Amino acid sequence: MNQRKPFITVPLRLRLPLCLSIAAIALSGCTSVPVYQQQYVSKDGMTFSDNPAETDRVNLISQIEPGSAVSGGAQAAGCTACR
Amino acid sequence: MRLKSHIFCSIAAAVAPILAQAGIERTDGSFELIDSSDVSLFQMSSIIAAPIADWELDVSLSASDFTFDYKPVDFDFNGSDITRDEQNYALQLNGRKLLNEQTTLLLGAGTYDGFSNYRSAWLDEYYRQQFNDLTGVPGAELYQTASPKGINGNIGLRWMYRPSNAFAQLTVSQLQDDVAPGYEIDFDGLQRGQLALATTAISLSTENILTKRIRSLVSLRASQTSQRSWRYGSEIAFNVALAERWIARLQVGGTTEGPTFDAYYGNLAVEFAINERISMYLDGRYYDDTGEIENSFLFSSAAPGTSSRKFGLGIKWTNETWSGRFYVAPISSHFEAPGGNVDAFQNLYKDRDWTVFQLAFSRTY
Repeated sequence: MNQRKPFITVPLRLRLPLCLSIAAIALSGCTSVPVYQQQYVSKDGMTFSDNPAETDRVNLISQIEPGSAVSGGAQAAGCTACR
Repeated sequence: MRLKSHIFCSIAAAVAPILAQAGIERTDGSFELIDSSDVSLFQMSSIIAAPIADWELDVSLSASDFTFDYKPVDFDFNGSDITRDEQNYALQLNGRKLLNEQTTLLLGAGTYDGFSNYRSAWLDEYYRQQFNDLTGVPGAELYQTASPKGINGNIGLRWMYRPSNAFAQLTVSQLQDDVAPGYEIDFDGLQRGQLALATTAISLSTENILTKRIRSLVSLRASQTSQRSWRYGSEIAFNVALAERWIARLQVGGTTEGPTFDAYYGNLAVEFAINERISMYLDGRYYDDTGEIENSFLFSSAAPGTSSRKFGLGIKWTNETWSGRFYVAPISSHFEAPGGNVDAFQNLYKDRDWTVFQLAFSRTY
């Protein structure tokens, strides 16, 4: 008996952030907050900023967490048989 | 190494007057140290933001230092203890130009010189000790001293599809890296891995103000490096104003790359404003991945599965022109039992207790 493989197989560990991503994108269309009501979302600590004095990000953490690197690029030394 | 630092300092000295004439809007600086008993990682960086003509330009310079006590495994008779110190210098230019009220063009380019992480340098040291002097062995001439470096370019668009409430951003990047290659030896002699890697990366993100108290950022990423499978990543973050003085920031993400690498992580921070200028925050983070080893038959330098935990304390302060942040956190990293195929790298892939220190500041003009 042939089993049909799913068209897209999403690893279990990726499903939660993907589901939350889809939910957030969907919710973004539900309401619009006027500028004069944005005092809470605009204060310090509430914005997504690249300013190192405002963000919680640890730049060197990717050396301990290889899966959290922002982009690809050369990771460790190319290894002839690293697979 | 001094020549490289002089080159980067010269570039900075040449760029600074141009930016000064243009009118600097903001300068940022940061110092970061992650330290364990045998590995020490340090990075300092600065960013200068200034408008030039129709462009908003960011110039970023960073210098990193990785120091580690290389220790061969007990059965490595060619190996010897050595303390290795590596530097990395990076320059990144990013520009933004408003095309219309809702659309912004993004352009960027950058370069770096030196090892980008300590694992690469550790593996390079192993290969150097094993294969540096193979007189009479076929392929011995393939060994060369590593000199990692790279360049990158990116282009993107930011679209504010809901003014003052939401935007979407699409970025395409191309990276070219000269890497420290891997080596292995068999009956045919010494063989060498790739010297250069090319990466194409696509990133799509959207930031939204969901309610009066919740802001979200969703990121989807896909990248493909030479002769590797596509790597997919997703991340979502919520910033929530819980009360007048309380903020919570939640971040959840995951990455997958065929055939066997999966990773996920979560971060939660809670911040309390002591007064108008000073706030404190506590955060915790957990990370877990399945490792990069595919099979148990071949010699492998890839990392086994790893997990890490971090709990930290930070203090922020701000006034009209200055803001700053200090952060300290212990990190505990753990590797799964690697199995026989990575026995030669037991001292690289071992459990470590780290401490991270961060100091950052920013000034607006």
